[in-house]
Amino acid sequence: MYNAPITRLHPTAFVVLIDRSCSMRERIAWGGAEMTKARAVTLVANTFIDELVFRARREGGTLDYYDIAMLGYSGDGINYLVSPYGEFTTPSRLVASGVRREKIARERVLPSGRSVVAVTEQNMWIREKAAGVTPMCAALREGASLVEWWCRRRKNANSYPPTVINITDGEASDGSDDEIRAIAERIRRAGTKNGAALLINIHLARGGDGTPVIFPSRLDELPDHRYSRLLWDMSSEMPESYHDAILSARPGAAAPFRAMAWGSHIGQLAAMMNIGSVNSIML
Amino acid sequence: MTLTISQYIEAFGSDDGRFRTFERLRAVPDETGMPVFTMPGHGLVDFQVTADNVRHTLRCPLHRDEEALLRLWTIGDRDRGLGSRFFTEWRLLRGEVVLFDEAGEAFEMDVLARATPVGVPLAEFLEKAAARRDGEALAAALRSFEDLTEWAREAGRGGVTVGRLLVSPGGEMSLTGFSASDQTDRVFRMLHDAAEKAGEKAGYDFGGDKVRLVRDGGGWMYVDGRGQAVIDAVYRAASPFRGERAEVETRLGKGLIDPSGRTVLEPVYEELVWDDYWGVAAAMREGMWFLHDRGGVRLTEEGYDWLGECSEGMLLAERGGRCGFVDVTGRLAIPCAYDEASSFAEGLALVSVGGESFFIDARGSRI
Repeated sequence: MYNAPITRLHPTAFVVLIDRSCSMRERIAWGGAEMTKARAVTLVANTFIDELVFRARREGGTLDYYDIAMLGYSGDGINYLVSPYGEFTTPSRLVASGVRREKIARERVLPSGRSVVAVTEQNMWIREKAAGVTPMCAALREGASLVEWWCRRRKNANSYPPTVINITDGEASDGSDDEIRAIAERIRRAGTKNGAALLINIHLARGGDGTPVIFPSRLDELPDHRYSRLLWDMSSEMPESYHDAILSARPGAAAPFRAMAWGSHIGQLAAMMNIGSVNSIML
Repeated sequence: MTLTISQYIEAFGSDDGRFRTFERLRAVPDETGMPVFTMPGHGLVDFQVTADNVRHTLRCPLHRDEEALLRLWTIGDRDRGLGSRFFTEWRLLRGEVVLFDEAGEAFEMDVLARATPVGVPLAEFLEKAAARRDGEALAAALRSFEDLTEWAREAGRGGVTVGRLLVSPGGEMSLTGFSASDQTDRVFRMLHDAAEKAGEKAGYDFGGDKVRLVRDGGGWMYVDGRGQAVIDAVYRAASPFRGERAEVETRLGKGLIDPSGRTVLEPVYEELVWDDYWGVAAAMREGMWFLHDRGGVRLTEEGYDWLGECSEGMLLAERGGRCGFVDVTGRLAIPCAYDEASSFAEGLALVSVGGESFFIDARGSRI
């Protein structure tokens, strides 16, 4: 299980759900610069799409090894961020659609101790936004429908199963805990012959969240908090094929690992998204 | 740790201090300003860079673990001392590049580097030389290839394939890598054919493929330069002709046709992949995969649960949850005895059995 090679015939799918509610306006420091949490998450999400597109590049052009959907949820409802007409897009369609680029400066300290500013051109596939409430229930429901539809397609029956990554810094404003649990279970129940869909929930730090916990092995590693328990219940157990990657982020930890983070900072978000797409190396 | 291509791109775009041995290293940009890179597979990325004023290829791992480093070291070890006018070897550069992880912590990575071989792919050279009736360049290429094959035999590193040959405008040949299979005879045939045709006409027809695919209502059809239909059929989906074959889909399934519209493989398959380079098609029906030649003849006696894409003349095959390799003649070249396997690259395939991972060569021998 979780070992199907990813090919054009048997692509995999990534669904990313991003909280873009007003709480994401909180200012944080990242990469030597101060910015809103929404801006930092947007940069990480853009790098994530870049990586999927980059890895699909071959001599003959960009090939469609993945179906990609990225949804934002905010006071404006649910918005498809990279496929304006809904559903999935693919690396070749993204490349064909063109993208705006922005220069991003990051402060780096070299092993010699010298501090330098690295400037890179970042593809901005999505733009930042932070407004209104947090309709996470609706976003998860949309994600569940996408994943179920994708898994039902005969073409994908033997594919590497979809990965759903939900990034939030708050609680749902449109549903009860039980509703959320039920939708999360819908996502985790979908799957292919190669395994069940993976649901990774990444909770970003807000003031007073305490020590971050990523990929916990036990419930008692999390703070005794109703919401942290809810995220634990929602999240998949990470398959063994991810353990090495997780252990590089959590040296010495013991498997199994729950696909979640509590109170993580932006660097950990980026690390978790890399780990969540680790199977994209199986091309 | 999983590495990203973006981490390397940042290093190539930064000022001094990111590289141990190279000074003034810069990525070669494409027309949009993005660094030029390709993905050779197996968790590696090849960047085109200018380092110390010489064009280089940097082969960088996308994992920072023992397996990825082992792959680099194996290639570096195997290439050591093999440099010649026919082959530019990979050099292992330990701790060459400084990257930064997501938390902003610096670490060093090993990479492979080699001066980028100069020349154009063989097919392009033949087309151009034949078009300008350059019998001299074709004769030089033939002589150079004779010398190259002799050298390759002595080196004993693997086969010579069309896709790994580069030719200079004067006909000097070089090899970008060795392969699990060998196409020496095919190259000789191509050279002789091109030399013959260069004397007959200006312009060598490598299969034409001048036919365009256009949308017609709800389907696709093939038309010539004037927009006239060249095949009297409209398909639900269709691909451009490559190597005088095209994948098409009707309401019954997927099939393969030739430029006259003749059916080579009946459109009854759920999945079908045509590989014009190796001249084979892998097709699946009712869950079983078979390999076919360009004439539609089935090459594999028994079906497989899965067949991968062709790499170096070998297709990764799965049967009963175990992996092996089928060659382009349909022979099960390496039995399905492995728990996991990756496709061949540079004559090697990474396999694992019983939790142990190691490389095998095209004969299935452990390296």
